[in-house]
Amino acid sequence: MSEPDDEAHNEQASATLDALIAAGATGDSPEATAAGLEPRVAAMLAARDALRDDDDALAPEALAAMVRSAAQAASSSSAGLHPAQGIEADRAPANRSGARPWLAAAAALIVAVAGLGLWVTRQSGGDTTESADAPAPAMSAKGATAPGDAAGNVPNTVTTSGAASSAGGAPGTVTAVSPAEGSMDAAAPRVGAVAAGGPVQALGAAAREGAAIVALALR
Amino acid sequence: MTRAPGPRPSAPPDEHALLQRARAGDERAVEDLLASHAEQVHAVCRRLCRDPDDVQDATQDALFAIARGLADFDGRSALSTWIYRVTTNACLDELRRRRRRPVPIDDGARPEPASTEPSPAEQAVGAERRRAIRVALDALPEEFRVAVVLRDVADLEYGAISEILGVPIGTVRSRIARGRSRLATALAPAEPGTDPPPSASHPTEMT
Repeated sequence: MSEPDDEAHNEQASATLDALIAAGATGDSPEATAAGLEPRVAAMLAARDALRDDDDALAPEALAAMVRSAAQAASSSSAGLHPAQGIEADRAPANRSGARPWLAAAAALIVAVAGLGLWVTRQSGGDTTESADAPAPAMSAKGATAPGDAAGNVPNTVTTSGAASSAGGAPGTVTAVSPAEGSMDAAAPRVGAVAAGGPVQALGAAAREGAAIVALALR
Repeated sequence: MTRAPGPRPSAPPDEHALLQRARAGDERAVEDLLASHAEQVHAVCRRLCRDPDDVQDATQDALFAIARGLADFDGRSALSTWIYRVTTNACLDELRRRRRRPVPIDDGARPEPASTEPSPAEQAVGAERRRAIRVALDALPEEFRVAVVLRDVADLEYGAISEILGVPIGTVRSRIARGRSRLATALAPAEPGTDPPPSASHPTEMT
């Protein structure tokens, strides 16, 4: 008999066995013998009966002792121990908490934002004294740059005309401008910015809030 | 030979109430609930684990896990299905631990009865039968063995087995059919002139 045929034959015999089981048959029951079972089905039925032999079952007292100790252990550990903790055997999906991965992801995001905020604050050179609700700075315009000094610091002032004073603080200065927040090009101040530094301060505040939220979440 | 054929006794009608009390922390209820399933839990462990010590360990682990997990059991599946899932996992964990343990040199092969001078214990029909069952089960790939035991020892339906094992019901049906067939061949009375079925001193295959 070819392998597929054999496979089909097995499945057929197994299905017949299931029907016999549903009818309450065993290897030596009248249902089985009277039915004149096909040899393979009869052999499967006999094997099933053999599997169900309980000659080597545990003594009832020993099993009862196991049950008692498990119940006691569960009772004593119910305070403080999550039921899903313990041996890895308990892997039923129903016992899994779905909240923790989200909490971890949120915490990671907050930490990332806080880290970015701190990095930007450091990059800005610390001039974050301006009003946080000032409008965001515009992009730099042609011909209106203010060169930075040798240390890479950028003058904190721009003129309304767009012509930067190398000495910083030329007449017509409206307000101070912090260096380019988050920009790799620290020597590119924003022309037309009225009050930069606000976003930096906001990021700093966000970082502080993020750290506080993380601390709360981890507690 | 004692035998427990036919369907296992169904869950007692007050199981739901027992479960509620157990989940509320009633130790007595937990104990009663465990006691009503312990025999079946042990029967499954006995057929899935090889070594008697492993059987005891797996049974104990399963009972602990069931007792501790009752508080979180949400009733999405039948209690018995959940219990057998925990039990099956306890057995598979025990088998994995067993594979990781170093094997003593003298314990490398399961003792086979001497064909010329059988021991008195092995002369007993019951002992020989148990040994044959053990050898036949050991020869089955793990995936077949688990499926057959859950069906023919634990009396679970195909759908519940599919849920426990996380495989399609057709796969369960195929595994059970093939497992039953191999068991039937291994346990069939040897005809004169035929070789005995291969013993299973090799580890079961994992898929």
